[in-house]
Amino acid sequence: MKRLASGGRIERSEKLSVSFDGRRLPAVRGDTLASAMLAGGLGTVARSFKYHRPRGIYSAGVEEPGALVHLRDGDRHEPNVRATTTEAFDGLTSGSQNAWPSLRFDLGAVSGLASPVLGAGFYYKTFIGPFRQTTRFWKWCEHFIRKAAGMGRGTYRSDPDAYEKRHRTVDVLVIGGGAAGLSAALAAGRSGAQVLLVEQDFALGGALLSEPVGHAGDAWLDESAAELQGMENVRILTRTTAFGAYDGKTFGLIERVSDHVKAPEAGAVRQRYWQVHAHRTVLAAGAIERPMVFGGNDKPGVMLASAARSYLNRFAVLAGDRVIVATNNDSAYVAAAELAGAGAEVTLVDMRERIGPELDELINGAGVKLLLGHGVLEAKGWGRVRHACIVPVDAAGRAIGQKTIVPADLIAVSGGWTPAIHLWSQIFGKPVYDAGGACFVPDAKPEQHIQTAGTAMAAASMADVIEQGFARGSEAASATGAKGDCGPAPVGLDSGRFWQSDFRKTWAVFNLQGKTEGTAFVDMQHDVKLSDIDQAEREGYVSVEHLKRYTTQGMATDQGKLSNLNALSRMAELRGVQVPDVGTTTFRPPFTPTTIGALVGHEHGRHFRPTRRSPIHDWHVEHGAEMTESGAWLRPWYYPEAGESLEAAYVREASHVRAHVGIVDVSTLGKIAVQGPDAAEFLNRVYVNGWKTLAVGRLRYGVMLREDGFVLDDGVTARLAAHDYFMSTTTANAAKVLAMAELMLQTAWADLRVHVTSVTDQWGAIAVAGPNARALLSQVAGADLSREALPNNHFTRAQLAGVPVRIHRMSYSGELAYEIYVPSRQARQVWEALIAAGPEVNLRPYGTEAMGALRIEKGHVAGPELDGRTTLKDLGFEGLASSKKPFVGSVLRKRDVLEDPDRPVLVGLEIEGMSGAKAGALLFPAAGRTEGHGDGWVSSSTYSPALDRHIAMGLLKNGASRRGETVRVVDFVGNEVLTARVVANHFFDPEGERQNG
Amino acid sequence: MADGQVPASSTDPLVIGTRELDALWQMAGWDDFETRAGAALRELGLPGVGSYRAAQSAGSVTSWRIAPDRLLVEGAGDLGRFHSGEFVLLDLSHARSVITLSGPPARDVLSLLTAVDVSAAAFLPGQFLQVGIHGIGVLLACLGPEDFELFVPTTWAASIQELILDNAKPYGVRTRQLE
Repeated sequence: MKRLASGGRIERSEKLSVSFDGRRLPAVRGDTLASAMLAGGLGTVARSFKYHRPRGIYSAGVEEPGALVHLRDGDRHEPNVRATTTEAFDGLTSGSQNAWPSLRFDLGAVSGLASPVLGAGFYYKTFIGPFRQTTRFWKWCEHFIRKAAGMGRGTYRSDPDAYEKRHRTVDVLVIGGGAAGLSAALAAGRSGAQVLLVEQDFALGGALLSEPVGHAGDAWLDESAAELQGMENVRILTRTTAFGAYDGKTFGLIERVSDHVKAPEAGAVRQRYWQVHAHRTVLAAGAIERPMVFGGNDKPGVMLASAARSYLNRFAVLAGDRVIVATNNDSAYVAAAELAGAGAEVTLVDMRERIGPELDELINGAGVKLLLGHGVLEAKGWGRVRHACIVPVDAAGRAIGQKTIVPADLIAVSGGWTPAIHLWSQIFGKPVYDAGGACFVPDAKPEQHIQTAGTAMAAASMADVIEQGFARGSEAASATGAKGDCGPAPVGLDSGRFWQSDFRKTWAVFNLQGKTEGTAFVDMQHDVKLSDIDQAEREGYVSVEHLKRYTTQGMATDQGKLSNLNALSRMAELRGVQVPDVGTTTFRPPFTPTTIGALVGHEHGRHFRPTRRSPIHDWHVEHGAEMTESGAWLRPWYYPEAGESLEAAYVREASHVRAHVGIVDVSTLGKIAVQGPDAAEFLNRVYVNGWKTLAVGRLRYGVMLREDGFVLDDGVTARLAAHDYFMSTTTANAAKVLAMAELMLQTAWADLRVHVTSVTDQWGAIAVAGPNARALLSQVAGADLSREALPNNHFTRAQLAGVPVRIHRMSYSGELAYEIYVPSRQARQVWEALIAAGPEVNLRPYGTEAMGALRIEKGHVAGPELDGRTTLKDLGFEGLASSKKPFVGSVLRKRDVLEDPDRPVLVGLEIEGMSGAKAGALLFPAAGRTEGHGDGWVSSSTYSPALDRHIAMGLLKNGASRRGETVRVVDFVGNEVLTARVVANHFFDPEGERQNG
Repeated sequence: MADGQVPASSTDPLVIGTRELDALWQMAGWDDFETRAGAALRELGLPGVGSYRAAQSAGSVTSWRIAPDRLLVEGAGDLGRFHSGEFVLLDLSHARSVITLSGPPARDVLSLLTAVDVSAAAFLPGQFLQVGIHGIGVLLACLGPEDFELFVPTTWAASIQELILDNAKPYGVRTRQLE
């Protein structure tokens, strides 16, 4: 391996500081990490996943199975990166992984000795008992297996880089910047369509970049690229991988904006995730060379013939001095000739018995030794290839003579090519088999919005590649309505022969006994051997889905790009069927591994999801409230004084409300405007109780059910005017209730003249509760809020601090209480006015924790009781339900299972001792075993300042008849058992004297 | 400037601001909605109910038809006088906050926030879109080639504005408060 003195598409004058495992590599601008490794003479660069076998560089692209390294250290550490697609940059540090203590001497390699045992299905068949003690032993083994498992190590540090997501709509998306893609983009661009051309490499050209410098392709590429760059309607993105095709003609692309520099520039993102909506797409993603299978075919020093050619012509690296080119088709011949021309001693081993005169002339002219009718039986050498065993073979690849040992430091293999059709298949499903090319191609139909061109469609010559690309681009543009003249197709190029002509579809080599010699790999990334495929077939795992999952072939990060077809072919041979009869598995995104960061963009941290804030939010924060998440809302949890704990704060706040008066922000309550001539009828159908007699100026509590008869939500609705109602819901269920209402109004109740509109944002809401509540509001609002003027469940309009408000007399806490509805932007002004007037009546703010304690004392149900498992009867609301009118859920609530008298019903629990019960703890009788789900559960729990003890609400089987009984409260998760006395759930002021005052 | 490319300097930053809403009302109805709404809008100086893409403006009054049986009207003051049993009006003046975006990077920034095509060719001055930004329903109005307003539900507005600012950082941001 060496860097040649001339040639290549690299900038030799621009040397780069690049290292691997602390060793400096001779990298220059234009290199990849892999080419720099080869130039530096590195053979082994990694250890394989399962057997820790030494691995070298196998390819020059995304299909790389072995050269997986980690990049960078610290908080930008990134494992499992392909060296072949890593652009070299100044300051690049890389390192080996999956090896200990070193890459050269890896203790993990002992697992390779067990490879005959560690075959397909090893775990399924081994870790299954048979005795209770062996189960414990396997669990103990699991600890070590998990430590050894995986590939590479991530970091727990925060990612310092930013990512973004961007959307774009285009007429034509062209995926692939090789000859086919460039031709397609030219046609579409000239027609006037808006075109986006994406290329995963850092340079346009595709396979043209692997031609010798000075080839006609260079000029063709330069001219095409220049014309495209001059078109305003064409955008070119390099370093951009189209990783997925989705419904709605949407594609996911990842642009590696800053991966080719040490760190992103200030303000720049590291990667950009494009969601592109394309009216039409041309998939010109090329084809991937197919490996040959023989013993030791995974050793460093074995690589794809096209990769050897790419390293030679693009990076000026000669990957070996004594080269064996092993093939079954024409496409490897030009590689052999070029390697010989660069000074290597080349032997071409072709499984076919004869070739055409053109190839003969090419090889003879290059001084390549040709062995027809031969194959490589085994690559041999300690740590890397030192020589190859070559045998004469028959048409099936089986040896028919004695082996010859040929010295070699590079075995370049070509078993055919596999079109990269993943994105087409993600949308349109199973491809069809092209017998001539022994590959799968898209089942193309003209109406499909993705059309494939070039070697992705198994084009058989460069002329075909260009012609197909141009035609698909022209058709795509025309389909979008672009009317410009596409002009003539680009002039064709000669780039050697493709694989289809005279293709010998034999890709594995066997000894005289019909077996591979040494370990022959099919899937190099997951260490799946040919013998594993055979074993799967013997054990009956013959479908392609079982083959994949039983052997794990194709399940690594390369997703079987090199192994799928060979595995299918082997299974077809064993089963005596054709390859298409075995079929393919489903291609799924992403085409290549994608960072989570790019998919997330800015939606992490505080943007993980949107946050909803009350119009009084800032006041709470400014005054030291501890905030809590309540769904998407941020709400004041408690207002600690002088370092108070949560417990001390909420007990103080709740006590204060009962003794004086408190103020709490309840703006999060759902609020829905119900308008229209049929509004009352709508409410009648939605709620279990009746609404037609509710007068203007009155409020009514209501409960609503789901269609299946379970309780959905509860709330208070006010009648504002003849056909205007103001419905409130719980904070958590607001959206659900509105969605249900809209659904019914647009479907089953389309005859009702009703509109429902969310007004949660229109109104802030403030609750004032406590014995001094009336005094405070009367003073600030200047309104008559006496018991007579504003009885319970009435509302009035008033002016508060100059703001028109609505004051609802209703109580959640069990105290004399009011809810004040204020236009949002004036809510803080009103709140502050109340606070300012507060000292006279000893007003204090309280948070959601205290609010919860107060409502539990009162025995009101809330979210924990309305969790979708409870019925009206369970909660003691059966009496609310009208028998005179139907309502949502009225039929199914009468199902036998929901009428079962043994169902858990709502009870109160007086907890004994100093500890509180945990919500979710299970309830068991005082005696007996505590197994299963018990007799019920705790739904809400608090310390009650009013009762000076811990209390809880829960659901208990036969609860009504068990009052006075002692039950056990068992928290299996926290391993705690308490006892409690069953009581009615209305702990405090059950007659309602305080709230009705 | 091609999208995704950030200006080398912040001489052309994104300008982000807020604007106080001037009386926003919803008109809604049923079978004769177009007739009743059309009459009301004509009284306000507007030609009719309009389309689902083009806003209508006359002086300080603007309307957006947001559904077959609903539209929003801003700038016409208290519209309670049109309210009846068959044609309902709802004051939403406090239910929306308006975020303004302007400057050369504005469309680029919008393409970071919504999947809808907001290119100059597809989203013209005078048009509006009802889009989702970060999962929140937003009415996006195009006022000019580089001028946009986002009508965001009030309780979500701060979060959406923070998201815009973080997305817009590479472009440089200048804030502006409007009346």
